[in-house]
Amino acid sequence: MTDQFAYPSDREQASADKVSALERLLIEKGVITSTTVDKVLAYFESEMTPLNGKKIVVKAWTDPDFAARVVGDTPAAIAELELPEGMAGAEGEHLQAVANGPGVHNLVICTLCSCFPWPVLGLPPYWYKDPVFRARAAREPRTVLAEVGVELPDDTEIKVWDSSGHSRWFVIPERPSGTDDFTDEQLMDLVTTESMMGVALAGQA
Amino acid sequence: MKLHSTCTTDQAAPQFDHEWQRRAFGLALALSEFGHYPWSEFQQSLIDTIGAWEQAPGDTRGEWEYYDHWVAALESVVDEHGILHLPVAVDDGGHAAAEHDH
Repeated sequence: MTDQFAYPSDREQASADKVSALERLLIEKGVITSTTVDKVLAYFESEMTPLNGKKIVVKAWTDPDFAARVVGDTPAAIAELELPEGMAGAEGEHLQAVANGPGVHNLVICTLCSCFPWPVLGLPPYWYKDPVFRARAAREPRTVLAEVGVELPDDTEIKVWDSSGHSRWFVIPERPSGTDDFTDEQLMDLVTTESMMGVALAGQA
Repeated sequence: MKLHSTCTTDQAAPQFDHEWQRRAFGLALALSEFGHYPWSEFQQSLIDTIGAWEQAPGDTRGEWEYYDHWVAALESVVDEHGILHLPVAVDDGGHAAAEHDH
């Protein structure tokens, strides 16, 4: 954490108190049980992770027909894979993949509400939700990408996708060269959450 | 203004900075999962509260803290749906979470 993201601790305590009071009331009223939130979180944190996105990307890298389908009809293509139940649940509807390729780089942002394709990418990193990042990425994507280490040729087109309630974008990054004899597992190691948001390249350390 | 220093690797990107944020997240998700409101409604509430923050003058709105907005959005949908005013210990139409735990 840097100072720019610091905020007063009493404000934080107030928010923490609100949340615990609300959960306590909901339990008292019998709306939820004392274990409901933990169960939901455990399921979410163990199943809705970037592992799903990695599998989708590697499938697209190794199966050209799937690569075409996942861009054409993302939910249908994902349904072909054996991924955890609940992929169509909260925030999983309206998943839409876009593929990087020669001369094209995709960058996903949400300028309004930090919509994020949780089921395939897990939870967004903290900085992604910062309004400064969102606004700058929309306005000057090439500069922002260079700052985070993605130097693109001048003639590479950058497409910025603004996630919304209707479309939750994620990126199929380009398969790094020299990986022809990699196993699926080795390929999965190259795919990061950042690469599926377009703020890094696959295989980028 | 540079990006946050965690903007480098998967490992360096924290999911939640504090447990209360994690619980606020879980509460919103749980109430939606168990049918108290459609997720899109929570999302719209979050959009509204963040929109209000972004429209407010910079010197009055306080510092950006995503999960403060999350909590405000959650309180708003809980209130709108009267979730805290549901009948207790009578037939609740299957809304009790325990019946749906998985």
